[in-house]
Amino acid sequence: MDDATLDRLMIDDALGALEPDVSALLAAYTASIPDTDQRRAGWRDLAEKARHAMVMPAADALPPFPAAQLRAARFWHNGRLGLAIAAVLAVGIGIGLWMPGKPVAVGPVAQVTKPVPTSPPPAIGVSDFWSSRRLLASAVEHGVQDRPAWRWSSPLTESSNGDLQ
Amino acid sequence: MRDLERLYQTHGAALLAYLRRGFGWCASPEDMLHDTFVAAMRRPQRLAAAQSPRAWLFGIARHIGLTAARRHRNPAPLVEATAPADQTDPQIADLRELIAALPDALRETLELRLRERISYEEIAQVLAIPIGTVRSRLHAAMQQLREQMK
Repeated sequence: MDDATLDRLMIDDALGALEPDVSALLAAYTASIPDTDQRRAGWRDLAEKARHAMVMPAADALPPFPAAQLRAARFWHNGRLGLAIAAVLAVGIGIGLWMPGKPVAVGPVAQVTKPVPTSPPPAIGVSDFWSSRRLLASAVEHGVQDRPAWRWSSPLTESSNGDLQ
Repeated sequence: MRDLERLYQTHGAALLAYLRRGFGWCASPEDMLHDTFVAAMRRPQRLAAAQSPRAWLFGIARHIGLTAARRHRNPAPLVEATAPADQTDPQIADLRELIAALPDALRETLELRLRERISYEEIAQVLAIPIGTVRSRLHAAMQQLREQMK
């Protein structure tokens, strides 16, 4: 371990920031190296003297807990919060009442013609959509004439030069 | 309110001593202690969420003290205007002067550790700095003291 790292560890130890087992490990390590134990003792001595230099005479007695004052402060704190909310609401309502209402300009609205959806075929009383009964019923209702007329002419009935027979 | 009273009984004396020593030259320590607990009362959620209520209270007290010091026109005295604990040992007296002459950041960190016995983690919370900075400040302060004591 290099000296700088060891010094940092020894300072932490002198300031009481190391866990007891870590401190014991450090003590064992420094005891095994000549002069290092004295360095560790020097840091501890310096920290102890610094602590002693900082210790001041006993301060005045702690005044009693100012419960009433704190309650009053809390009341005023909460009261001020309520007053602030009320003031914001009042200002908002006042501005709303004070401002004249303006009609909203509405431009010409383009009318969009939508295709009217065809009404669904009336219920026929058949539950199966693809059932033959339903198809038959639909055909009867709409009539056969609604179907496009397909006409097919057989090429066998045409003459070879293209004249119709 | 009861939690706050319990905290007051537990940490009030240490906070009062801290305020008296650090900021007693610019405002009444009792008033600052009162302000500390008023500020704590206004933030019950933060008090409940604080990992260390003691460190949190010290952080508030420090903030209030610094605000009072900023309002004060005269600068802070170099050496604290309090009676020394031990006037017989000249080495202790020298050390006290050396500590007072340390840069503010180093001195404050060292005082929080040695005088208030606050852990590194709590010092980081009080000063709102990373714990690595706390460690490096303490190392620097101790090394400066040792060099100047030679």
